[in-house]
Amino acid sequence: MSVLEVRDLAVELMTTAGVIRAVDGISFSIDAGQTVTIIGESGSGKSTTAMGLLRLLPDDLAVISGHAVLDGVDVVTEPKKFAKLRGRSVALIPQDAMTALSPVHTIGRQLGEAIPRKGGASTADLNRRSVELLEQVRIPEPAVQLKKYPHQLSGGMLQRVLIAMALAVDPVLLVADEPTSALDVTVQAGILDLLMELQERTHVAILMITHDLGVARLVSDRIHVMKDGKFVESGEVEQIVEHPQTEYTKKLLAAVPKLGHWDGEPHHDALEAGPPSPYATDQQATVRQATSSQATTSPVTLNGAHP
Amino acid sequence: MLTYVSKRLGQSLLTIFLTVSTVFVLIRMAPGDPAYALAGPLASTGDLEKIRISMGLNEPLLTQYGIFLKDLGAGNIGKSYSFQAPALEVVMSRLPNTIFLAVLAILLAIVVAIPLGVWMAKRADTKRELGVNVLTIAGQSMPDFWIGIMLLTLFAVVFPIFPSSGFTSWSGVVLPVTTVAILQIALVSRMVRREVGTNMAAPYLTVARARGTGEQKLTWAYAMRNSSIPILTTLGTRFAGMLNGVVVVEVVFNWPGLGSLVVRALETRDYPLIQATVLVTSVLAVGVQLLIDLCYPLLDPRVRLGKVSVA
Amino acid sequence: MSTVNEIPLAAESMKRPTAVTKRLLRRSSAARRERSAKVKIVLGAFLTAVVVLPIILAQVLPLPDVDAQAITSRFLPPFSPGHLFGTDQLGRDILSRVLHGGQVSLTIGVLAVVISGLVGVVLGALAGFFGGWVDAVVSRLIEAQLSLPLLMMLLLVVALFGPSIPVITFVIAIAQWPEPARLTRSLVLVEREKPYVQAAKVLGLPQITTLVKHVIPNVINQVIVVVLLLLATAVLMESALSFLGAGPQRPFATWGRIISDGQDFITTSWWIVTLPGAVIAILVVGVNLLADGLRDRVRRRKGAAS
Repeated sequence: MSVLEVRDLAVELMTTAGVIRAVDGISFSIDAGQTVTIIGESGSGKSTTAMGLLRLLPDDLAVISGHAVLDGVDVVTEPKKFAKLRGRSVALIPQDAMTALSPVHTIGRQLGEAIPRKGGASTADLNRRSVELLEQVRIPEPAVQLKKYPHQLSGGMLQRVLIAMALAVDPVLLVADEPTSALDVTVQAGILDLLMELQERTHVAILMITHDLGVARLVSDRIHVMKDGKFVESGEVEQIVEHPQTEYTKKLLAAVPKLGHWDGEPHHDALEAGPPSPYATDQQATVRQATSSQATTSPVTLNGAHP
Repeated sequence: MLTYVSKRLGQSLLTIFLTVSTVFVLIRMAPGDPAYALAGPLASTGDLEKIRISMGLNEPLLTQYGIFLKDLGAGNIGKSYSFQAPALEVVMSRLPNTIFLAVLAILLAIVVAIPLGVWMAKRADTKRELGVNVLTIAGQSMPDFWIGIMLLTLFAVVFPIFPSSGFTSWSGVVLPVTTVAILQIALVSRMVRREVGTNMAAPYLTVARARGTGEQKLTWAYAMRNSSIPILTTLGTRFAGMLNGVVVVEVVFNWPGLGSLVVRALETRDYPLIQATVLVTSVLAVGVQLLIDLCYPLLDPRVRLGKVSVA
Repeated sequence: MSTVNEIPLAAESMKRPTAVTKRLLRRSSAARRERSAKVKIVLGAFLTAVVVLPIILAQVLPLPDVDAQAITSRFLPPFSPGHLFGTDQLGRDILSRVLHGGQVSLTIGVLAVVISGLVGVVLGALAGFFGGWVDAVVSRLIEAQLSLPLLMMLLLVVALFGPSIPVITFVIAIAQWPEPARLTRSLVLVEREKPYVQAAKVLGLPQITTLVKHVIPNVINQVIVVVLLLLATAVLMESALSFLGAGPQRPFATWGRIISDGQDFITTSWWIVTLPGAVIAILVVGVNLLADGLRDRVRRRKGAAS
């Protein structure tokens, strides 16, 4: 059974400039343990989709219609009931870790708040659980970090803290809204690795929002390419990357930075060695696109845009 | 942290120094003989000569300035001729009444303005909020002495609930405090509305909401807590302006503070008294602002832990 | 993103009607903000006009002479025949006094604002454009002045130099220069970084020419809104000074003077104080509402543009 089932979802934003249909009838679903990625440029409606599904857009700004069922609750028609799911069965990993935490509260205070309090849990229990969570996201000296304020940690560390917060509740769905785009490339890889490892262990479903095909390529089971509020192309990772059907997707693929010849080494050597990192996958993606565009002459048809 | 404190201290000292120098320049620039101005209309020729010598009026200007500063340092601002007592003593004896009025008014303002401002932020631009918003604009723009006179007419003359003047009983405190507080409530609540509004839309608040934090906690523990930092700073800078208002309102209610003193000093051209009032209120305002700024690191860990410098 | 009216004519999107109802739209934050700004602008403009127009037309309107005293018609309440606002302790028509007094008060205000605006814009622009020690000096001065209870200092000046109209105008101007200065400085700081300033530098244009001919004209519009707001503050300050006994001396019946003269008769003739005060309040509230509404609108336009 799907953790999240979205059918014909639309989000309309009422702005001064008029009503804008930021999300225009998209459908997809995510199963437990699966990662589904929505990829698109900024302004394509991908983040609006994520925020709309979490009902984090103000009611006096956004009108949501269509169907979306998360963990048995209708997101569109039962906003009150859904609000209780936030921080229970669904959690968010936000875009910019540097601004995602209150600057005047300690890490421990904010993490502690995310931890569900079962009857009779003492401060010591809470503390122990906090330390445990930070250990899970591989933060060194967790007990020390708890007493620190957000400005004392690096962006990568903060993103780990935010992931720990998301994990605190044992969610069935993680919504990761560009979780690495504000981070250094080297840090990005670590965060993505961590997410994948956690998914393997907890079997959480992930909705990944990104503009970076390298990221999408690395983590996704399925990819939906979004443009102007619609999915222009959907499919398995290999299909999208190797046989893009639309000009838009091809452009996205072309936008991935090309690396490889800078050190004079044949780039496939670099591909085969080392752990997966966005760099490597970027390369892979690029290389594959290059090879496939040379080798393939007949376009491969995708089986429908919607699963 | 240490640089922050020393910077603040430096700014305060500079402000006081500028005030003192301005007063010196003004008195020397004024038409007529400063000795005559400072001695008052009833002074004898002998008195005038004494003042001339003590002020060093026959010396070069720089020496005069030195003497002026030295006198100030010794707390000697001259003698008030309408009170026949040292001007500084007269001012200091009235100061507690002014501070009392200001403190009560600011407390009342904070108690009312914070919940009001939070309410305005959360109901922004609804019909009711628009009504309250217009009222706060009115509250911050009406002349404070006129508000005082209106309250006085209404609650002391038409409906004699409160005494019209003086400091005789606690009920006499109600109208002056309310008058001063009205302007402050309007200013502070609008500030709270703006700050809380901004913080309610901040990314960290959305993230906190996403992890299931309740609306009350989001509003007070997060948005209001983060807003308290800029609000406190602004309150510090506004204290000087508030002191102006207090002085004017004191006159309306015959409050025995600096206001009525200053009016009397103006009527009698009692320059040493006005000079003392200028200096004492300046030191008070600068001191309060310094105090508030020194509390700032307690509220903001970024300053306390020395990562960000506050402009 | 496509707006609803320009949805591409694909068959799929044609099928889907908008879920945004008129009611939702009316209650949207964008519409509510627009309404708030509109209400404030209209109300503010109305209140301002109600006070300013009669003052401008005071000479033309059929009003009793300002200084015409009449022992027989002292303390007439409002709506007495021929005296809409009633008369004062000397039998003078209060409406006439308020309107003519308003001319003096507004003239003082306008002059003071022009001076403080000029001083503020020049110093703020120099500080923002050149930075360094110029900026340090101007900024410290602004900070110092803002942290002082300036009213006492102004009273000292008036006491020393006499309560003439030039002195009072000057005093108000001095009290107000930090606001436009602070604003101009921050606007110029932003403007300075723009490419055209760099281009002018490369072309070898003298810096001061760039500042005067290009930078200041680009920021002046935003400063003017604030300067207008200062006019209201200037009127308030004049009335407060007059109330404390440091206003222009008779025969100039400024607003503050009328109020402070009438204060002795509060218990018997409330209108002598109440009505002139109400006129000041209406003007200042009107200007503030107008400015607030305009500011909201400008801010929103900018937000929509970015």
